[in-house]
Amino acid sequence: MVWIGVAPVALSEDLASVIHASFSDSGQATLLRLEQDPLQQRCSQPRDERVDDDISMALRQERLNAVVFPEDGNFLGDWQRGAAVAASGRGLQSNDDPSIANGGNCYACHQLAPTEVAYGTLGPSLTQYGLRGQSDAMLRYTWTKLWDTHAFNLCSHMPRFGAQKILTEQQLKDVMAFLLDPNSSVNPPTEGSSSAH
Amino acid sequence: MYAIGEEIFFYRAGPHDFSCATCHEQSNKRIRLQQLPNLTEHTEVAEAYGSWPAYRMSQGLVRTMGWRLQDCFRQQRWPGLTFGSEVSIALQTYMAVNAAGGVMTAPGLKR
Ligand code: HEC
Ligand code: HEC
Repeated sequence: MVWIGVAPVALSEDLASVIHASFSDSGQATLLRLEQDPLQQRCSQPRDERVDDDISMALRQERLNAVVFPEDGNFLGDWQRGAAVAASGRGLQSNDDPSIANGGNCYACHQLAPTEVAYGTLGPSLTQYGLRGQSDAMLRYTWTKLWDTHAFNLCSHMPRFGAQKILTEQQLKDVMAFLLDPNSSVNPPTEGSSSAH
Repeated sequence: MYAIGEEIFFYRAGPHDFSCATCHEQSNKRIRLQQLPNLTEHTEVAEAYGSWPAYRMSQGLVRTMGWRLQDCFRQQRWPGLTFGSEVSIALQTYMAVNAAGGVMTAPGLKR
């Protein structure tokens, strides 16, 4: 397979028609989902064939500019509700009921509260994430990561929870608190620390 | 067919931006507690490909690779894959070629 030059490779007529002919609408998962946006098109190659060029930089900047921060300036919700969002893997599959809230499925890819042993390893462990503190920079970094991870790491395999409307603003705030609240189960007191940090 | 299968393997789409590669492009990764085979790597794809059709203990039936792919596309948040479609065959060709020389152990046992 040849990935040509710097421009996003347009799908060959062939591939597009093969793909379309092979699927049918299934519940909320309709054929519209097979259309790629520019980011998806750019990121559809093996990881060792990715190029970091002007187009990647422009795409990354575009994603960064599109991040929507909480209107009320408050980044942190309820960590216990956030724990439930992180644990739920449901939502947006053809067999999921669209009237029930989506989950974030964070445990599919991350270790979070150390008491949950059924965690995946596609992403780094986030246990003790709260040790990084709650500075403005940290709040904005984490929010951006959750809203659209590609703003920092183009072609990351983490979903764009805000940009793709997988989670609501309130759910994102709750997940933020799950990561950053010193009392959250993600941040249990470490050995040697006398109280919650 | 192989080239089409390869392109589909890396094709990201849908609300979660997932492709097969999201879950099957690296070794020694798991989702929750389920071990994910790296299907771009000969030994691992040979083991995975060679173990289907398989007996699913949780379902009490024998399932085909076509069924396995439908279920992965569901997790990928894509629409329904048509059984026996070109995409299904192209992906199986992609895996079969990457697995060439491997040993068939089917029917496998899956949870
Ligand atoms: C499909 C797998 C996947 C899912 C699901 C996922 N992530 Fe990630 N996440 C990753 C990967 C891979 C990285 C590392 C690459 C990167 O930074 O984008 C990452 C990175 C992160 C980071 C940055 C880590 C750091 O050290 O700065 C945070 C924070 C994060 N994820 C939080 C979450 C939360 C919260 C959820 C659930 C709402 C979640 N992720 C769901 C794969 C995933
Ligand atoms: C969201 C993650 C995810 C995505 C995306 C995904 N899969 Fe899977 N796949 C899984 C899981 C989980 C299993 C079950 C692993 C187990 O049983 O331990 C699996 C199993 C498989 C198996 C059987 C492996 C074995 O040894 O029995 C094959 C083959 C496979 N996937 C191919 C694909 C292909 C091809 C695609 C793209 C159409 C794909 N998968 C997309 C998660 C995913």
